[in-house]
Amino acid sequence: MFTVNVDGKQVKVPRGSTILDAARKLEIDIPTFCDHKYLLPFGSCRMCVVEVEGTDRLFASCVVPVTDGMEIHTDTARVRRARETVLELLLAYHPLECPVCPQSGRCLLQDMVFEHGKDYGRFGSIAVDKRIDYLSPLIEMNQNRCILCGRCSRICDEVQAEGELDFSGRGFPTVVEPSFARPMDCEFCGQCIQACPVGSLYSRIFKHTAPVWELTPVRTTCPFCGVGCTLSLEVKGDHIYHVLGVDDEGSNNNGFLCCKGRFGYEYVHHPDRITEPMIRKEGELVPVTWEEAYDRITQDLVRIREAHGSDALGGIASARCTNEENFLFQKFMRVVLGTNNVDSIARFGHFPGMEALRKAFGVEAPTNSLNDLQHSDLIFVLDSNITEDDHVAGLKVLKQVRSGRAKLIAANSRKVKITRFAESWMRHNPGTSVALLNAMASVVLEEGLEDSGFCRNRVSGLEELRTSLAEYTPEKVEAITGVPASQVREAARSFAEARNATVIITLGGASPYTGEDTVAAAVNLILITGNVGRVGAGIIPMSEYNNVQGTMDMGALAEFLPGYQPVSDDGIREWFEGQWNVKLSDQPGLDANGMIQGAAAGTLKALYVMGENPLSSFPDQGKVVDALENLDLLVVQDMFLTETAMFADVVLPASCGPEKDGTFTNTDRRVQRVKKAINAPGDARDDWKIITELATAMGYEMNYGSAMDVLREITNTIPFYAGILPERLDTSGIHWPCPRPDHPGTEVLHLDRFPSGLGRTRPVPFKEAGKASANYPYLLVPGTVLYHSGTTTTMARGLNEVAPSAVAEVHPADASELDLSSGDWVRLTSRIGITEVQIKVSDRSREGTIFVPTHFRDVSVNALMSHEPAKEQGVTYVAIERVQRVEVEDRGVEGPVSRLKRTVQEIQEMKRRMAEQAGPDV
Amino acid sequence: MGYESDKLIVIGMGTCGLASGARGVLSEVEQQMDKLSIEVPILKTGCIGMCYQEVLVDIALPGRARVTYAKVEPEMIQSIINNHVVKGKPVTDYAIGQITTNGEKIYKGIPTYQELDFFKKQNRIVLRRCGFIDPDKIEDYLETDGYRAAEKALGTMSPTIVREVVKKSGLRGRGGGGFPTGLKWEFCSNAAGDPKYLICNADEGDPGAFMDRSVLEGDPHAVLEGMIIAAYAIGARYGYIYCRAEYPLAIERLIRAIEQAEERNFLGENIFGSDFSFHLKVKEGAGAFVCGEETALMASIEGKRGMPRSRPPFPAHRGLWNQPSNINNVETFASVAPIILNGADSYAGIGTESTKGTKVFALTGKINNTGLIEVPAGTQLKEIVYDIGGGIVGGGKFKAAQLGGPSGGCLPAEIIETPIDYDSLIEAGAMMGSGGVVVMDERTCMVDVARFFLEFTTAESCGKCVPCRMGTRTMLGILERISAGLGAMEDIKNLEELAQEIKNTSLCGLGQSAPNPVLSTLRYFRREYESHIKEKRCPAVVCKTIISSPCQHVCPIETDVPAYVTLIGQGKFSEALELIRITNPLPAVCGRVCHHPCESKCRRGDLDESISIRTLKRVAADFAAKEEATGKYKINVSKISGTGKKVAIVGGGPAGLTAAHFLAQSDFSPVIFEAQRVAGGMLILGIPEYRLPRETLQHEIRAIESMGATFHLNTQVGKAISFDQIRMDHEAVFIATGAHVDLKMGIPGEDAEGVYESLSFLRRVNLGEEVPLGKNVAVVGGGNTAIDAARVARRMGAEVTILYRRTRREMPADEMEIEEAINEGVDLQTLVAPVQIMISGGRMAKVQCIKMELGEPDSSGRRRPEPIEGSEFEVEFDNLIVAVSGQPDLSFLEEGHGLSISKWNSIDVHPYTQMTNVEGVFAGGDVVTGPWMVIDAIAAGKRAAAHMELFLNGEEVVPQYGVTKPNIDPVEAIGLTEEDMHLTRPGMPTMEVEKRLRDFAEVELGYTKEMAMKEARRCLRCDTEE
Repeated sequence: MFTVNVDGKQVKVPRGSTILDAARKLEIDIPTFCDHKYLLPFGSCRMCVVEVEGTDRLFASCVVPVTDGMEIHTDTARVRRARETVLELLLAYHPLECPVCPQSGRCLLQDMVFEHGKDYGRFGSIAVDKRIDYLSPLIEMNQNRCILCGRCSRICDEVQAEGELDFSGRGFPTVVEPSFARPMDCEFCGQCIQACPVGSLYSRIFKHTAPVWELTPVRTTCPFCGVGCTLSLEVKGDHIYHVLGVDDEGSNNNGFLCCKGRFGYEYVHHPDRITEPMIRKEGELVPVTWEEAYDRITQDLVRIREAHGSDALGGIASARCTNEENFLFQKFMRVVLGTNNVDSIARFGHFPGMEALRKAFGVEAPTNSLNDLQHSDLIFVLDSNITEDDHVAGLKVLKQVRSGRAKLIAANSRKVKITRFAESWMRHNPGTSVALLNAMASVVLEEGLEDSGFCRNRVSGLEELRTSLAEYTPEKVEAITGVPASQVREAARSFAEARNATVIITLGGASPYTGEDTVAAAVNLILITGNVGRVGAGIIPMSEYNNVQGTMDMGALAEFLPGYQPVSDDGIREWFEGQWNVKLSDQPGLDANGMIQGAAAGTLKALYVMGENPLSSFPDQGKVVDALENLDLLVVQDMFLTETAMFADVVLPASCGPEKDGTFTNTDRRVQRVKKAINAPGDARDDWKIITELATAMGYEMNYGSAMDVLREITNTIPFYAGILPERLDTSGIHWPCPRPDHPGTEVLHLDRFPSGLGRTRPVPFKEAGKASANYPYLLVPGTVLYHSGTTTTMARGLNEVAPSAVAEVHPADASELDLSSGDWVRLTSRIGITEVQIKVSDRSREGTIFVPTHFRDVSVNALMSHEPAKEQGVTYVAIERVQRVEVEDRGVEGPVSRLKRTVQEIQEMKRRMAEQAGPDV
Repeated sequence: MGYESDKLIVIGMGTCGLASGARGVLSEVEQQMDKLSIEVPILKTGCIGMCYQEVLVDIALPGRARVTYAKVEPEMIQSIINNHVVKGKPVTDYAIGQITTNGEKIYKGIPTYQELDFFKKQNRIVLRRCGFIDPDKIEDYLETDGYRAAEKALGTMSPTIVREVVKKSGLRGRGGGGFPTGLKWEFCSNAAGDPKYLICNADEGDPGAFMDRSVLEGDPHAVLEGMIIAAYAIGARYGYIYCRAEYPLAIERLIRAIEQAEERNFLGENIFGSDFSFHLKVKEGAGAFVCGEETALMASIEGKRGMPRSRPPFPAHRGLWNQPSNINNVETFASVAPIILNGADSYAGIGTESTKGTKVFALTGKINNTGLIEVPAGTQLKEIVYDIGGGIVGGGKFKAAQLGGPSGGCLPAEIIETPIDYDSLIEAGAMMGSGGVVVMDERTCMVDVARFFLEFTTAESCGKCVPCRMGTRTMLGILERISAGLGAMEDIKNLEELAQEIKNTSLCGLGQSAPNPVLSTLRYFRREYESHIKEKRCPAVVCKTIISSPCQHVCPIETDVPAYVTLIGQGKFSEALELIRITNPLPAVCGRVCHHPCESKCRRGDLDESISIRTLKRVAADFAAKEEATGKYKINVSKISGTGKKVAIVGGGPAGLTAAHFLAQSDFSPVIFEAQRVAGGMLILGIPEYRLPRETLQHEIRAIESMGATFHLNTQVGKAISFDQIRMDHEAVFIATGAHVDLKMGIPGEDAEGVYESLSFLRRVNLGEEVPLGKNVAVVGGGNTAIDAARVARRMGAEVTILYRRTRREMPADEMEIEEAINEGVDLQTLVAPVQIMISGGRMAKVQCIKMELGEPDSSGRRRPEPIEGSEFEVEFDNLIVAVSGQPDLSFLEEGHGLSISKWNSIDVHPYTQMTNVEGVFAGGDVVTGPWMVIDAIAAGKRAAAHMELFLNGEEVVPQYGVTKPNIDPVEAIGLTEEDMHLTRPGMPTMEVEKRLRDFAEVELGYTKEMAMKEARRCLRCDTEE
C-alpha cells in the first residue's frame, strides 16, 4: 500500500493505483471524459490533469500511477486553467446543435461547461465537417460531435470483443469509425451509445423523439433472455423512448445490454397489440367486454368439467410472465379447476436438465451465479452460443477469458463467437455431447486426475460410473463425436487441473431432447474433478427465456406444487390444502407434451394458454394444429393475436413486461423486480389481474391488491423464497435460496453439503439420437440469433431491420453438392414436416448440418421437429431441396391477420402433403 | 590490360547520390572501362556527407591518395578514366579533394580533405565509414575494425561492465531526448521479465533530417554491432529495427547486413561463441511520424494503431508485448562500438561538460554545403553555417536555423554563437532533436515557418489527446489568420498561452514539443508577427494572402506590377501608364531612377532573371508621352474645383510633389513652397541629368500643376515666409524639405580647398553653376551619390578614382551604376579609406589612405572592415569629393516649433501616418529618413496625403493598413508559353561610352516597343497563383 496526499488529505491505496483512484477514494471529484469504469486507462482527454509536487508538468490522473508519499493537488490555478483549455478546445470544434442532439441534457460536455461556467472562450466556435453516418439501422454516428474520448471503440473492443469501431486517420481529421468507413454492421449492443459522453453515437430510434429531461427512468428487469439485466426504461406518458443499462450495486449487468434489451422495446408499441377481449362468433373473433369474455370462459369450463372431469382441463403457463402470474396461474388450475394439468415450455428444454441437477444434488437450479464466473480459472462452454443467446453472460465469460484469468474450452458444432476465444474448441457432432462428456470423464478417471478427496467425501456412485466409462475412452468415441481423441484428452486434463472450473451449458436450443442426459454427464465430470460446491466452480445451464426458472419455481409443472414440492406427497398437499382451502388433486397432471397429445386424442377438452404460443414454440407443429383444432375451448391470453390465438375461442388482451409489476427469476436463481413503467394499451390487463378476476368470477375469491401481495403469498409458500420480501427487491436482486428476511441470498450452492447428501454420479449411456437416411441426410440444428428473443422481438421494428428474416446456414461443401448459393430458397423436409427458408452458404455450421433460426413466423423449425417419442429422436434429419420463391416480394404488404391465417393454412397444407407422401422411410 | 585489383573506383550510391544520377555515372564508368578493356573494382558506398557535391566519384591508385571528384556528370567520366585511372594524372579541374588513410602520396594542386572547409571542423565517429566502405559487404566492415567491439564486449566484459563503460562515456540518446544511454540500459537490465526486447528507432521522420538514413545506408553493420552490444548489456534476446518504409534502400541494406551477420554467427544463437543469443528483425513503419514516439512505435510493432500511451510504465518495465524493452535510435547505436573499442574516455573527451562526443547534423535549406556533418558537441552554430556549411546560398543573409525539426525551435542570427549541446539549445528555445538543421535566409518568413511546422504536427498528431489534436489545430488556425493578414494582437497572446498549455498537458512528446517552433519564432521574431498583424506586411514577402505578388508587396507604394506588365505585354502602353499613375504620380521618374525593390523579389528571378519592371514602367511612360505629344493620348488629370481646404507643402521634391498630387486629387488645394527656382528637389538637385533628363521630370511636374497644385518657387521658408505664417495660412502642413546637408568624414584637412561635399557638388553642377575641378579627382564612398559624383566628374573631364573601405560586393550602390561608372573609366579602389588630407599651399594636395581588410562576420554575416596597421600610403589628387551621407537642414523652423527632432536632425513622425507630434503638421521624405530612396519619398508623400485627408476631414489620424491587393480587377494573365519560359531579360541599350562623356545626355536608352512586349511576357503572374 502507498500513502499519498491529495489536496491535503492522506489516503492509502494499493500499489498500481492511479492518482484518479486515490482521489476517488477520498471522494475528490476530478472531471474526465475518457475515463470509464470498465475500461483500461487511456489518458486521451487530459481533463483530469493534476499537479504533483516536485514536477513541472501536469499529470493526467487517470493514467499516472501513484508513488509512495506523492503529494497531489487537484484544484490549483494551473490545473483549472489546463482543464478550461481542454474544455475550450472541445467546445470550439463541437457543433452547438444541442436542440437537435439526442444527448442534450445528459451530455458530459454540456455538464462540464456548466460546471466550469465557461463560454466559448478565446477561440470561438469553429465549424467542422466530418462524416455523419445515417446508414446503420439502430446506431447513428455523428462524427462532428465526437470528442474522440475513445470510450466507444474501447468498450467495443475491451468489453464487447467486437472491434467494430476504431480510430481512423491522423491529426485533426481523426475519427472513430468502422473499418473502411462502411456503415456499422455489428452486434448492435449499443454499449458505444451508452459509453458516449456526448451525442456522437446515439440510438436512431430515440433521436428527435423526446428531450431527456422530460423522460422518467424506471428501473426494471429486461424481459428477454435468462440473464436478467437491469434496465432503465425512460418513459414519458405511456411511451418508452429510450433504454439504458443500469450499473448499480443491485444490477448484475454492469450497465451492459444486448441489442434486444436496448432496442427490442419497440414491440411494446407495436400497432398489432390487441386491446380488447374477443370471442369467436360464427367462426370470427369479435370484440366483447371483459364480463362477456369471463362469462363465456366460466360457462365453458364449468360445462366441460361437469361433462369430462377436471383433468379434461389444462393450462400452459408462460416463461415470459412474472413469478406472480405463473404462481396464480398454477393456483388457478389447481385450486379453481382442480387439476394438475399445468406446465410450460420449460418441459421441452430447461426442465429436463434441471431434473438432472435435482437428481444429482437435490436442487433444480444452477449451482453458481453468473457473477461467480469471476472466480473461475477455467470455463467450459458446452453447446452454447452464449454471446448470442445470453449476451451479457457471454461478456462475463469474455472478460474473464480475455483478461487471462481463465482458460476457455468450447464444445460446439457451430463456429460461433465464443469458439474464437477458446484455447480448445471441440467441434463435436450435434447430439453427441453425452459421448464427449463421458470421454472427458473417462480420461479424468483413467489418468487419475480426479479430485480424490472430494470424491471420497462428497461423491457417490463412483465405481459404477468408472465401469460405465470404460466404453467411452476418447479413442472409442472419436467416431461418434468427430473430435480427435488427443484433443479430448487435453481438454479433460485442463479441466481436471483447473483450480475452479465452471461448465456453462445452454439448454433448449441445440440439445432440445437430450438435456437431461447431457447435464447428467456434465455433472459426472464436475463431481469427479471436485468442481462444484465451491466459489468459482459449478455448472450453470443457461436459458433463452427470461423467467423459465421462475416458472418452474412457481410450480407451473404438472408434477410439482410451488417450490418443487411433489403433488403426490400427502403431507405437502395437505399443507397447501390448508393454505388454499381446497382439496387438491393428488395425481400428477399432464405435462405440456401430454396436454398436446391429450387434446389431439380428444381426452383434453379445454386448454388455457397464458403468454405462450405452442403452435410456434412447441415441437411438431402438425400435431399442435391437430390438438388445437380438436379442443372444445381454447383460451389464449396474450399481447398479440398469435398463431395459437387464431384457433382460440376466447382471446384476452394482456399487458407486457414494462406495463406491470412483479418479479422474474433469472437463469442463476436471481429474483429481480419488474416495475410498471407505462399503462397497457386499450383495455389490455395484467395477466395476474385477469386470473384473479376469472377465479373470482368462478367463485374462488382472489383478492390481491397488487402483484407484491402475490409475492408475499409466494414467500409464505416456497421455503427458499421465504426471505425475498418485496421491499428488499427495490434496488437489488436476491439469489434463492433465501430462507429468511435477513438472509443475503445464496450465490453459490452446496458449499458444505448437497441437499441430496452426497453428489450422485450415475452412468449416462450415450443414445444415438437420430439417424440419417438417404432421404433425410442433413442434420437440422435449430437455434437462436443474437438479434432476437423468441418471436417477440420480431415485432420490434429496429431489430427487424437488422435481422428481418430467417437465414439458414448451409456448409459450402454441401452447398456445392446441392448446387446452392447464398440467397437461394430451399424447402426443408423432415419425416414429419416441411418448411421453406432462405439460405446463406457459411462454414459456421458443420458439413452435413443445417442451422435454422427459430424466431421467425415464416420459417417454422418446429414443423420439422418431432414431438413423440421425443427422447428417442433427439435430433432431426432433413432433406434440402431448392425451390423458387417468386412471391417473396409481395409478402411485405400482407396484414398481420392474413399472414397468420396463411401460416396456419400452410401448416395444414403441409400436413396434407405429408400424409400423401407417407410411406416407408428408407 | 585486365583486372586491376589494386586500383579502386568509388561511387557514392546513397539516396543523395542516386537522386543526383549515380546510376548513370556508374553505367558510364562501366562503358568506358569496357571500351578500354580494363577492369577496375567499383566500390558503391553510402553518403560521405557532401550531398551538395553528388555525384561523387573517388579514384584510388596504389600508393596514392584517394581523389574525390564532385558533381560528376557522365560526360566527365571519359576524361577521369583516361587521365586518372589509366595515366595516373588526376583531373584537377573536377577534383575537389584528396584523402590519405595510410600515408599514401598526395597529389599537387588538390586540397586534402583536412584542408577542405567542409571537413576541417568535423570529427567523424558515427560517420567514420560512411562513404568509405561498401555497405553491402561485411568484409569491408570487418576490415575497418568491424565487430571487434562486440567481440570484445561479449568475450571479455560482463554486461555490467559494458553498461558502466557506456555510462562513463557520457553518451546520451541521439534521438533527441538526450537521456543517458547507459542509465537507460541499466533500467531495462534491472527490470524483471523475460524475454526483454531491444529496439532500434529508425523511424526518422523530421523534415530535413536524414542522418539515420545515411548511417543505415552507408554503414548498417555499425548499427547492428551497437545493438548486439546493447542487447548483451541488457540481456535482451530479441531485437527489432523499426525503419520507416520510405527508406527502401536502408531496409534493403539492413536486411542484407542481418543475413551476413547471421551467417557469421554475430546474430542468432550463442553468438561470438558465447552463451548469449540475440535475434534481430527489421520492421517497416507505415509512414506515421508519431511512430517515432517510443510507445507508439511499440504499438505499431505489435500490429496496433500507432498511438502513444502514457508513461509510466516506461518501456524499460513494460514495453513491447508488455515486456521490459529498451529503445535507442540509429545514431546512438552507431556510437556504441567505438566507445567499447576505444574506451569511455576516448568518447567522453570530446564535446562539452553536459554533452559528450559528437553529433551528426543534416544541413539543409538555404545553405551552400547541404549534407551530413559530424562535429564535436558544443560546436557553434556559426561554425556550422559559415565554416562547414559555406554560408548562405547566393550570398544571402543568414536569418535563422531551425534545429530539431517540428519539435525544435529557430535560432536567430543574433545567437549564432550558441554552442550546440543539449542544454544550451533548450535554453535557447530549440532542441537537439534528431539533428536536422534547416538554414533559412531573409527570404524566409518566420510566421510561415511556424505555420509550416504546425501544419506538419497537426497532420501527424495521432489524434488521441485533446491538446495535441485540437490545440495544435487551433494554433495553426491562428497562424493561418495571421499569415492572411487577419490576425489581431490578441492572437499572439493566445498563441503563447495555448502553446504553454499544449506543452503542459499533451500525452506524448509530439504534442509536448509541437508548439516549440511557434514559441521560438515568437521569442526571436515577434516583430515579424506584429508586422503581419498590425501592418499587414510580410517582411520576407512569403505569405501569399497578404502579399498578392512579391513585386507589388515590396513596392513602397504597392504598384500593381503584374497588371501593368501584362498590359504592356498586350501592347497597351497608355493603359499601363494609367494603371501606374493610380499609385504613382512620377512614373517616368521612377522608370529611370527607382532602386526597384520589386525586381529583387521577382519570382522570375528565382528561375533566371527578374523582370525589368523598372524599365517597363519607363517604356509605358515614354510611349504615352510620345502619344501625348502627337495628341493621340491625353493624360488623365481630374482638375480640382479649387474650393478645397488649403494645405501647405514645404519642399517640392518627390515627397512634396506626390503629396500635392494626391491632395489635389482629393479636392484639396495644395500649395508648394520651394526654395529653389525649380521644383523637383533631389530629383533635380541630386540626380545627374544623364540619368534623369530635365524634360522628363518637368513633364510630370506639369501634370501635377495642371491638377491644381500651386507652386511658390524661390520661396525659402524661414526667410521668404515664416513657418508660423504658413501654419496660420493653411489648415495642414507637410514638411518635405529633404536632406541636403552633407556629412563630413571627420578626418583632418576636410575643410581644405578642393574638397567638395558630394551633395553640394551635384547641386551646383545640376543648377548650372561653375564648379572648378582638377585633373585627378577622388570620390570617397560606395553609395549611389558617390557613383553619381564620380560619373559627373568624368563628364567634366576629370580622371576619377573611387575610394571605398570594403569590397565591391559590399557596395550599397546599384550594381548597374558601378558597372557603368567603370565602363566610363572610373577607377574603383576598394579596401581603402582616407585618413588624412594633406594641405599644400592652402589647398589640398594629397590624400593619405590606409588599407583595410574584412574581419569576422557579424550577426548579419557582413564582415566588418578593419584597418591594416602600418599600411598607410599617400596619393595625389586635385580634388576630393566626399560622399558619405547627408542630413536635413531644419534651420527654417522657428523657436518653439514643438516638433520632435531626432538626434540625426530629422523630424520624428509616425512611421505610417507621417504625422509629427504636432497636430496637423506632417513630414515625409528625406527630412524624416535622412538621405534615402526616391520611391520611399513618394510613398511618404502618398501616405501623408491620405492621412492629411483624414485630418482635414476631422477624422482621427490612425494608420489605414490593408493587405496588398490589385489596384484594379486583376488583369487576366496572358498565360506563359513554352517560348516565354525560354525568353531572357534584355540588356539595357545604352549610349556608347565614347559619346557619353561629351555631355549629360541620357545614358540608358530604354526598350523598344517590341522588346518591352516580349520582356513583359516573361512575367509569371504570381499574383494569380492560389
